[in-house]
Amino acid sequence: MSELTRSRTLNNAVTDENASRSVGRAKTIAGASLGAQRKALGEVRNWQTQSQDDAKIETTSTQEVRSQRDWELEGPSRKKRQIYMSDDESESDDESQGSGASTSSTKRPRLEEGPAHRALQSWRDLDRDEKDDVCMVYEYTDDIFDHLYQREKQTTPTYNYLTATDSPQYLRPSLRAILIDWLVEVHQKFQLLPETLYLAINVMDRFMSMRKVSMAKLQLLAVSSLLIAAKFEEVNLPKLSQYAYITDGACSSQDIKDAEMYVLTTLKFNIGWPNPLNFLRRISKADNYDVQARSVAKFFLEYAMCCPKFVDIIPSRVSAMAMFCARQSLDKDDKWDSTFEHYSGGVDPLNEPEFQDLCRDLIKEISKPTTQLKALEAKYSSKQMGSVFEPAKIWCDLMVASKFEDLF
Amino acid sequence: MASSSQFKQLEKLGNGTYATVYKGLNKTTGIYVALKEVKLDSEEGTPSTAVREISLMKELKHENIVRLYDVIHTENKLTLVFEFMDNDLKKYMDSRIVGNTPYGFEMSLVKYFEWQLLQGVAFCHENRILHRDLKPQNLLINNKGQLKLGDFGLARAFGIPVNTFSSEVVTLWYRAPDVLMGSRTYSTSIDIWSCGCILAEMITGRPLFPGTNDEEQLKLIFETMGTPTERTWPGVSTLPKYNPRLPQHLPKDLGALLQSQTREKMELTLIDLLYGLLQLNPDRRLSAKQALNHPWFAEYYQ
Repeated sequence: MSELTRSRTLNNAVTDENASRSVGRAKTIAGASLGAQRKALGEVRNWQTQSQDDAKIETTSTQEVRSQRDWELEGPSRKKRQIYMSDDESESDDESQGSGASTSSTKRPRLEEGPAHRALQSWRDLDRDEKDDVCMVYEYTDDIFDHLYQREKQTTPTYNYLTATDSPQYLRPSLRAILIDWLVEVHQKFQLLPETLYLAINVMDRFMSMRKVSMAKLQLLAVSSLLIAAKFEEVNLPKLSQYAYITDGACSSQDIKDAEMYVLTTLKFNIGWPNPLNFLRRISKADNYDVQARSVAKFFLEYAMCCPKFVDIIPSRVSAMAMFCARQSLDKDDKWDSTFEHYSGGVDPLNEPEFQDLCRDLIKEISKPTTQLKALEAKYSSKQMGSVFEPAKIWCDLMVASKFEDLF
Repeated sequence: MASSSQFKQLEKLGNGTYATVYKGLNKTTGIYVALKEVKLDSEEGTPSTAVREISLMKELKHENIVRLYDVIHTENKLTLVFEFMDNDLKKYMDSRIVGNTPYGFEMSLVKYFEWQLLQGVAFCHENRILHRDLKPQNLLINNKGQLKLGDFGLARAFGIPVNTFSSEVVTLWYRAPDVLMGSRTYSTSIDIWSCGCILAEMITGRPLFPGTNDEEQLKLIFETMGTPTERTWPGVSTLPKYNPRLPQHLPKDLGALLQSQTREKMELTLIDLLYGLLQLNPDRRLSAKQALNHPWFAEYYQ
């Protein structure tokens, strides 16, 4: 019955990109009442993580600040000396050298291995400073990230179905953009965690890289992906009827239920996916949780997740791109040192042409979008998100105009 | 993916929170399995508990965690095919009640079970997963003396820093005091408290804190472990359900208390471990990894 309605709504939207909002204008009534309800329950977490970080900055021990300052004063000679060190020690201590260029698979040396070992590692161990903060689960950090670096390889699409024009799953990037922009809007209305949006996008991308989805079913897939992501991440769940309602009659509750099961079984219930926010927070450690860098990085991250270029890029790398671009755009003068390299899972921007290309692609995409992401732009133009869109966009324009001069 | 015709459904093993469990026989291999049937007639679609349990258990492959072999989807139900286990710790303890007197396990068995429990918990935590419902019923054992964590219906993945979660987790008797007082910023320590309660229960054969409601549960805990103060547990008074008018109890001698309920001599290191797991302040509770390195387990790791 709804087959007709659905295709009609979508076709309208497809023929007119500007009308993307009509795909199913997120209904305000449902959103608003739900929002109020969630607020009352104190479940709105989007901002809490931020404030936690703020608190952390204040409580940073003087010792750490001091050690960081010493570090800065050493300046350019630092890298040189380390290279020396590792050269000298390469025979006697292979492992410590390896850890300097830590890759996802190398086990990082444990602290228990003594002060001698610590002196040899080129990155600052910042986990240790958070030893007493239970929320940082200090003791398990290395294990958890080892697991996440493995896991992300298994749960990221293996190719980009938006660029593989000869693939049976090929989808026009503009179609995905409409869905994503709608998801961004619904996600905001429902006041869900940022993690949930990214997981929903991942679920949708994984599904679409495996199955051809007809035009009429795209919105159904998007809303079902959000439903699944919320069930995995959220404490308080929106009702299924609210998901149906927000599609403006395009999808019934039964449609969504059926689609949910189809998506779950297609993905073999492998929903657990390393969320890029985990990686972003980890890299953030390297600049002492600089709030400004992080809020700009969140914009770059979300743009990368939503634009069509990086569907097959693992989240730890997308997070590193976001942080690198954010820091460059803010003109942070301390370069991406070995500490950043360590906490980004081994990304060394200056020596990785592939990573550089990805960053250039992201900047180009923001400067001259190949798909329209209006809801995303509006979200990051809002005060709530630090009004970071405008300045970031201007920086991207400048970068493109200058042919990426001094980016790396 | 297996089909449901591959399994012969045998007797019912029990009712879970959102599912019924049957014993099953894989007709092709002749191997017994446990079939957990989840009804899909809910208005909300697939229960979130099933979404989490299945996706998290697929990530957890460890000898002390029950293996999920397969998931079968039929018309209106999901069937989770698990490794078959002969018994659970609760039933096994009940089988040892003589007359009306419960008996704990031999100390060597207590140690072996607790060691395996902590191995399974450490593995979950290393993989950023909280179980959140550890209790004897959810610890499955087989005839080889192996113990495995089961029922991940309340489990969830956490990020770093750990987000706030629901405080409506863990069966009352095994629920940590911080969670009872409404804390939602718990992390791995939530599972450790349960491990402490289970350890004491294996020693005596009786649940350590068998409360009937939240209030009584806290009362029982504080009567034995002492009422926490800002001095012994900085920040306790800021917890949502903290009651400043609680009767002030001094900590009792936990070792003596448990010793009076068991015949075998309790080692000092065991008592020390119990205190480590049953710290009221979650920040001071041992981690599963630390517990596995505790001297009481020396015979396993030396």
